Amino acid sequence: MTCPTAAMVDDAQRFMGLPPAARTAQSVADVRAVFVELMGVARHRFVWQRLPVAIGDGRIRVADDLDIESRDLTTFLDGCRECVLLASTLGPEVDRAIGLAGRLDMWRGLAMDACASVWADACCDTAEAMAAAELADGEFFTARFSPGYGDVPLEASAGVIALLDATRRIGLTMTKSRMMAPVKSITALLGVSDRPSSGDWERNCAACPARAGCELRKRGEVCGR
Amino acid sequence: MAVELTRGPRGRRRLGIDRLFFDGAMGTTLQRRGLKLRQLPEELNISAPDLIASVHREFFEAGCDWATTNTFGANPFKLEAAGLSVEQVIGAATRIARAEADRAGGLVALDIGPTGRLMAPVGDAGFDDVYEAVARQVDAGAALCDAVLLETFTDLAELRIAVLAVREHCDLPIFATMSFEATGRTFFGASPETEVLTLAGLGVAALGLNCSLGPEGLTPMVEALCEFSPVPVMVQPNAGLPVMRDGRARYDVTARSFAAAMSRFAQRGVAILGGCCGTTAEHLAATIETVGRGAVPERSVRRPTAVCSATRVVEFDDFVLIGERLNPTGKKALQAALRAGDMDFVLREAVKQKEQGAAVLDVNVGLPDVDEPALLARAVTELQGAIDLPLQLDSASPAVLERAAQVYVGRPLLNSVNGKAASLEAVLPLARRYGACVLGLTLDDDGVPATAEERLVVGRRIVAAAEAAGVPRENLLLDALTLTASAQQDLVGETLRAVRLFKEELGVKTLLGVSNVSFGLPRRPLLNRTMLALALGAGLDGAIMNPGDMAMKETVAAWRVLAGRDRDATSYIDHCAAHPDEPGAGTATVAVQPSGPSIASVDAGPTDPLARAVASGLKDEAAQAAECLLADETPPQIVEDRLVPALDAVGRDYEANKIFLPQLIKAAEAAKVAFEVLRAHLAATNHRAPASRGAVALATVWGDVHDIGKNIVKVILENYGVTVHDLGKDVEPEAVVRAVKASGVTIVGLSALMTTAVASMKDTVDALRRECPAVRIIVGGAVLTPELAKFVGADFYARDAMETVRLVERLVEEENGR
Repeated sequence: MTCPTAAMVDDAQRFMGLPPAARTAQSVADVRAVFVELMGVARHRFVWQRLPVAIGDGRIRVADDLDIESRDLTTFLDGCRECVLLASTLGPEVDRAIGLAGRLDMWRGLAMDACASVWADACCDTAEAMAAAELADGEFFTARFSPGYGDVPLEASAGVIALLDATRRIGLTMTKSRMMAPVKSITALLGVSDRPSSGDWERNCAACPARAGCELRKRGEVCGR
Repeated sequence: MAVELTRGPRGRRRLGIDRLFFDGAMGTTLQRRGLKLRQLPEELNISAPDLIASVHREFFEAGCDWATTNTFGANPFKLEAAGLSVEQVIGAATRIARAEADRAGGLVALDIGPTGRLMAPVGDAGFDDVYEAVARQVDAGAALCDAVLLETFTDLAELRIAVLAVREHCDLPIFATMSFEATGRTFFGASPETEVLTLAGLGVAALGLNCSLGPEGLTPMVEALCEFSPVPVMVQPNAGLPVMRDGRARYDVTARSFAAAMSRFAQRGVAILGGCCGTTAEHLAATIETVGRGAVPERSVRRPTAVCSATRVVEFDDFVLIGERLNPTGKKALQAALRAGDMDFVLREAVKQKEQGAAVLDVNVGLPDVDEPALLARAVTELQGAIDLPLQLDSASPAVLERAAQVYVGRPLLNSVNGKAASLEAVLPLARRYGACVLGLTLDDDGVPATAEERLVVGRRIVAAAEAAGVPRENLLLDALTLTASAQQDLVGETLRAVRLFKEELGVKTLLGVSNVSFGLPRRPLLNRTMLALALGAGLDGAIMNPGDMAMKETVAAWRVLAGRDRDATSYIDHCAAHPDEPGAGTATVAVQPSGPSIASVDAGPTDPLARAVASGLKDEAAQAAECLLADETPPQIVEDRLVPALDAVGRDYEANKIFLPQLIKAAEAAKVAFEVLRAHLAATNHRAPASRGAVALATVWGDVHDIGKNIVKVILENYGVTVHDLGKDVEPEAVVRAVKASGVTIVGLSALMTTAVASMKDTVDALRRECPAVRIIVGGAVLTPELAKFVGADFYARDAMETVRLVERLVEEENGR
């Protein structure tokens, strides 16, 4: 993909805090230009692996090795015996580009950051699609679940990165304060299920920790697609 | 350089002369024997020493000369989590490898991989983090080893710090390899060329590549290394790209085809051969059998005069434009920015010069009242974090140059050394220590010699001293020194002759700053560009000049056609298509087109052009409107009567939900440009800037690297005339306290986006309450709510940037009223 879709430009404007009524031909063109610049800088790298998963009491265990304490994940993966772990990053140059853009012109910094978040998600979709292509007949992915959703802490990314050897393979690391670097990176877990996903999960704000103060909800929008 | 490895098998082995074989994979071998995916292989040095010994033994039995210790990830960051110490793990690993090597008559390399943390500004690791970790690993293991192997690095910044740490903590030869993708670049954009230019100068004994790809995929990178590297080349490929099967990475290249590719590398001149992920004793045995022992074939090595950043090489084989604008001499705005530590200004100047076509940037921060070593080092780090151009480090003080060279990633150009004994003794060892290029000014204790022949004598002395100090001739450039035509007209010709003599007699590249020539005469640009044309004709290789000077650049473009550098005049024709008119030929100024509708819904739209430009977020128009107003009004009048009301209108529209965040920011950026026009005018007319309306320290708290919100607040606050001390992101509580004490501010703004950062925000508030009880604290950020603000103990919660402005205005008024 070399140019952003209309939906991606729309999402980026939403992330920037521009409600639909305030979006103009000019703002669309401006954001699109930032997208094109970003795509020239980003180097999408990803790694994924299909592994057995065991559902326990309030926790799951991946590959008989990685334990993640989470009630939400036990519900989410109910009935799955395998899962795919996925790590995807836009690379360090994107973080640099966002930083530089913000120092030269804050509007461009804001736009670049929003576009990068949208693009990181779209790239993760691409990676997910490649993993999905290797599913057998009658196998389906659940929705994508990332650390930070529900009761899974952000630092759970560390285990996913270690299991996938993602530091060596795609350059994805954790900072000392347990955040991912490069920032525009996603780690995720997808259950391998014998029935199609209901698709409800993404729009479910009930489990979201940011629910209380969410500006989008006040405006009647949601952050998932 | 022939490093002798006397502990080697079958007598003496000489590095770079005798072909040497490293071992194959440790990690994937252990995985095949049951190592769990997340288990640290280094743990097995303690829990299963026999297993590790057996892996070494297998590779020695296959014929390898070297065992690599099982210490790839044995750094404090990775071991800490497993409750192990560096000394314990590396001590055990080196004892195991040494015992097996002694039994086999082999050699041991202490293996050190990347720390697994990213360097700032993308990550949070600093110079000292990496340096101290590597130093500790070397201290723990060097005694039992014959060399140190730094392998699988992808960030040249991290690797060069590791090299510095190793060479300053032991005398063992250093082998350094990086891991490239199929694009020929590492994750961080380093290329084989930047690797060579950076590392060879730091004194590594061998350099090369490993991991990531199979041998076939690495061929272009091996070619590039063999073409450029003045030190022996080392190659350790994977047994192909990993293929996932049954939840494990498998490597499919057979021993036979691995050996065939390695044999081609050996013929090309690779001196050290081994394997990385997926390679077994079988792969190495086949390689040793196919390649055979014996002498490393000679390579012809290209040694260009070149500088580089981590990602970009600039060779002095065509005209090189060195941007001169980052030098405070005669530039009041830059002086003010440097004194205030305003690196955004420095970055803007750098980006502008890059866009104007500079290939290298000169960086000079020499002002009498600044901490020059610290400031130049900071400027270098900030510039390298943002743009990819190589830098020319410019200072009269060797101590300043050293500090900057220490943090510079790549091969810098030091500006400068000269023919005085004191200068040669102080600067040349720095060039040697950091592998830098250095610019030699052909003057000495008697000043600038009058004739070209006398300058050649000084040039020859500099070349001889450089070579004696271990700086190869290709790393030296000479400046023939431009004198002023109005004062010393006859000496202009001597400079031009000297350029020719330096090239013919000494075989070095030459640089000049040409604009001195025109001092004291009218229409200086005309003289400057004519001097440049003459110098180019004499063989000049680069000039330190203003890249915004279109006439000078056009002179270079024309010269490149006439000198046969621009084949078929392709670049020249492209340039002319983009710039059809002679510069300054009196073409009409293009009228400014209003671009797009006004974004602020001020009733009926403001009639004042500056207010309209700000409301619409149009930067060029705002600058132009400010310029026009300066004809009739003073800067303080323009600020009070026009900019402040315009910003207030925009702020009210934002608060009334008539406009939204991106529009508010666009307006702020337009106002900022207008402020800059006014500030430049004040500086030029020696007027004082308008008084600040209060001061605030801003920080994104420790544990959070998301600083967009904090930066937005900064831009808006500055617009309202508030002085902002920006402490950055991921700032530890103690650092906030220190900065608040140092600056004396009474208002602190703290930001956090992540839930996980709330606790550290509370710690920061607590620390401020203890140490700086007078400060008022405003908190904000995506995760914050009024309730959480109370929980962390802040005085105020601000929903957004505008609310922060209103709060600060109120607090400052209260303070002034007291």
